[in-house]
Amino acid sequence: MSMRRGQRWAIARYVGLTLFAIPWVVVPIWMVVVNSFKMAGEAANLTLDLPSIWSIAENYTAVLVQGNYLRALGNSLLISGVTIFAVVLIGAAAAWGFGRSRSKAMQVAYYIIVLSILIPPTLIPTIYLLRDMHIEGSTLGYILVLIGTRMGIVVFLATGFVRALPPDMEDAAFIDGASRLQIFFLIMLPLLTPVLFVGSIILVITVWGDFFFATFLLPGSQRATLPLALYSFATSSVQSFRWNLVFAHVVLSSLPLIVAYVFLQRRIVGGLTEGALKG
Amino acid sequence: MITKMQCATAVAAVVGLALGTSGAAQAEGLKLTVWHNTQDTPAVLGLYKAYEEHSGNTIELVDIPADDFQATTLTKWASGDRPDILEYFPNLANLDRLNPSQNLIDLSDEDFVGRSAIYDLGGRASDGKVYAAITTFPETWGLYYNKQVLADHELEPATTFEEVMAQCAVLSKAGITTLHQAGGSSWPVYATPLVYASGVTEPGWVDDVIAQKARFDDLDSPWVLAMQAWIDMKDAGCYNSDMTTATFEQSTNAVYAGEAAYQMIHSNIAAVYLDAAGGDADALDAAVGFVGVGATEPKTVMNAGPIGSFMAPKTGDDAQEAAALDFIRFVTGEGYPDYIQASGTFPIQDGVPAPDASQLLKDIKAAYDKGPRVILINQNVPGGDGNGLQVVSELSVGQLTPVEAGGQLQQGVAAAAQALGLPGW
Amino acid sequence: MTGRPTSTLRDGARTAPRRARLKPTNIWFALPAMAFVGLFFVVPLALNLPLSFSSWTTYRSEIVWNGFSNFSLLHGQGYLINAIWVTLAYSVVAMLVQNVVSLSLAYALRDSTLLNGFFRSLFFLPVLISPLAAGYVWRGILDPAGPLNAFISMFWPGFDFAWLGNITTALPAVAFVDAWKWIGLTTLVYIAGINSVPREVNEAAYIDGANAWQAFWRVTFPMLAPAFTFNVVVTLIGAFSAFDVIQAMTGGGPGAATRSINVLLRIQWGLGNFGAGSALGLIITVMVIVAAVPLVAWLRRREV
Repeated sequence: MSMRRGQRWAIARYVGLTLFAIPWVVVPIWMVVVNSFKMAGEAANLTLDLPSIWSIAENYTAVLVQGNYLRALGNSLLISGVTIFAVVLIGAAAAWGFGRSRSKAMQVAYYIIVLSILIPPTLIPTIYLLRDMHIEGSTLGYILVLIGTRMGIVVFLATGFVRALPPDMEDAAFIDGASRLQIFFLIMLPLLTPVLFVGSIILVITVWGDFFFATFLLPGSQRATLPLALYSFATSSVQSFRWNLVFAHVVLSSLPLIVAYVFLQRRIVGGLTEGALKG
Repeated sequence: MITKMQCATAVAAVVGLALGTSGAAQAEGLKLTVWHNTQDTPAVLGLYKAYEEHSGNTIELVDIPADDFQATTLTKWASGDRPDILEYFPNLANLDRLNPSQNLIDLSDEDFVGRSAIYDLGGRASDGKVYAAITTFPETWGLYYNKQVLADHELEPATTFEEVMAQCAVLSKAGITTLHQAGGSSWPVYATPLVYASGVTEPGWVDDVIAQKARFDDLDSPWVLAMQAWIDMKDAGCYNSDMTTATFEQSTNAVYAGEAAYQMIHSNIAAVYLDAAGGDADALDAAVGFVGVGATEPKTVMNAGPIGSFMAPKTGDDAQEAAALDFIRFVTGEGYPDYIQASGTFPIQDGVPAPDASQLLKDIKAAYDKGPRVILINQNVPGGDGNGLQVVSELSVGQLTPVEAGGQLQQGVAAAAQALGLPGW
Repeated sequence: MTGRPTSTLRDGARTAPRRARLKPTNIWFALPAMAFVGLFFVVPLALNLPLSFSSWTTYRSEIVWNGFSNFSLLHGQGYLINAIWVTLAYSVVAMLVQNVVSLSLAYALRDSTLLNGFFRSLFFLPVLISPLAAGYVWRGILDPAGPLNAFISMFWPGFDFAWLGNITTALPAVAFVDAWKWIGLTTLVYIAGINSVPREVNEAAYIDGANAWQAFWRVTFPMLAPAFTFNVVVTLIGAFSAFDVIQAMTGGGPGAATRSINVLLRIQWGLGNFGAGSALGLIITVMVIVAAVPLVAWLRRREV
């Protein structure tokens, strides 16, 4: 392969990628943002032109006030935060246990947990269970279900990581008199950080965007997360479907993750690519 | 007998509460839990306040989101949870879902039943007993029409679907959508055959269905006729070209702007029309009118909605149940005239003065008064409100024929009848 | 599963003498996870079986065994086969689009250059948008008045088509959006897979006279098998639970054209037919097991 050919291929590739990226990502984002700045009537035409009358403040205020945005943002932050913290901590502990155990029973338990990644959680029996536990329709119930059903991916990723680690460091610390808790928090958890970071990214993406379980387990606007707030805003029977407001809500509900992504993108993309997602 | 004893207990309890200044607990009154729809109007919320002042009891509102109102209420209910007062759909199909003879207090002998004609049409379960007190003017179905469009073509507002079909020949030639359909909102498409079927249902047909002497997919069943009529209007080009994706707000705008002649929908959409007119009630009254519509002869089809419709579940606590009855008597009695003035809607009880209203609302009231009133047929058959929405949606895009659609509706009724344990199913 | 410890750690570990080992009492550390998964995943999964065969409705307070009534009710109303078919078609379309596009993107972006990093980040953006929001975005684009029809009208004046209002195009459209939303993530998995193929192997293929296409199919692709297995299984099975995108874009319509199993489940739940809803959940579970086991086995066999 001559340099010339390589360069020509590179240029063709980037031209192709750009041509592909425009309808794929740029136009959708532009359409959403620019129409969220328009008045209802103009936004109904869904053009890509700039607004003839700008209506940014009105639209975004409407989302903040009628769209239940701030409360939903708080709920989403709380639910995602608690869930991810719990799953990462409990999952890492379990991964250490599974990674270092040779017992058959532990193997079986591990496979059941891994199976929970593959088999979708069942909804109506979950409602039945929460009802029996008297936490149906509560934020607590929803968080507990999320923890139980999202545990698998972190246990799976971290257990593989633990198995590839030689046990000598733990052994040495044990001989030096460290307790198991100390070994876990001071040695294992720091070692597991990269893989737990990858796990957290996957968790954030799925928990933040969860709509199916949320719509059944979290009734009422008090407990609504961002997707629920968006849905009830868009389908509310009092308010007509207005593209400008729906898009403004889409922008605001997507913003937190996108802002976080802008700051962390190298680590996120790098972590997911280099990280432990293989096989 | 039992009802009288309950009345006596209630009176005693209320008197006791009013006079009972000795015990601290009694002086504070009882706390009544109300599962209420988050779309309760300010007037309904005011009604709760008025009752608190009237009785000394306090009301604790549990929000049931309007978007998933039925499902959320049913899930809570199925878990065995019971409020003191339940705000819910007061029709047979929904009342039956609550297993009312076991779970709700029978209100049949209450005074308010005699003061309103609405209990001929709603508030009763399939055992014939009244379980729900209705305070709010029912959703009245009919045609919103553009006055100018009809005048331009020298047409009178249609009062039957037969007339709509006849006018369609004139209007579609002029490039005007006769009856605007909103498949994007799904339920408005369901509404047209539903209202049509309600209009052609013979008295006793529902009983025949329950007795398995008639079926939804009989060739002459109201449903098959209604769905065929809907298809005929579609084939005749009476609908808008974007009928599968348009929303009901677009229908409203189209009628207001004169792009369409009619929208078939219920009375509460009057507020959306006001929205379409930019809040200008005079402009709206000049442009749009409302008329009740039947299938082959003029009728007014209606159903009572959940807002301001109250039931008293059996909670097993006599004092609480008595207070719940007291609440229901207050909202249908002493508190009713003030509620009507505050709500700006029309009273459904005899002898209560009506508030001021726009011409469009007066049209709606006139349609209700003129009648003959019939209730939406799906509200009156167990399971009849189940799969209709899906079935008509499939019919509208040609996935089902009217007879097949009728067969699926029959299945929905069969499922409910089996769940209810009706004999012979 | 190949997490790799850092090389320094491994070297250090090798030289450390093995004096003692932790006793296998680490079970305590796994217990909380077992409890959570057991209670909130395994118990509902097990409960689903009896609930699917019982009459749990709001009509009656007691829940009694009713055999196959829930299934025959759903089938009799013509819902069951349609929902399964819609779900399968949706999953296959989503899986194909997602894997073809992300494999192509991964191949184009496999080198870690600055510009490639920019494109990787750009294509990752849809992953961050909730599936529901993605549905609203594309409902706008596919609207009869939307940008897609406006673009086609430039070549075909007066073009007007309701993509989501047509029973043939609605299903592929919603499935496409599902794929669109997740492609950024699968692309990264493929990039990781491609980069695990040693460069020398590829170069050897070129020296042997293979062109780029042949090198990809003969050398890179077989080595990609683990990533391919992972992506195909995850995208296919993930799409069995199709709900969010559909709910935002069509609500299951027009007619029954996009009424997936989960959309139907929500309808049944809303009517208080909890037993029928459970039956639908059971069908998804069975579909996942039936699809996943042979698929994993078949794809594993093709791996190097």
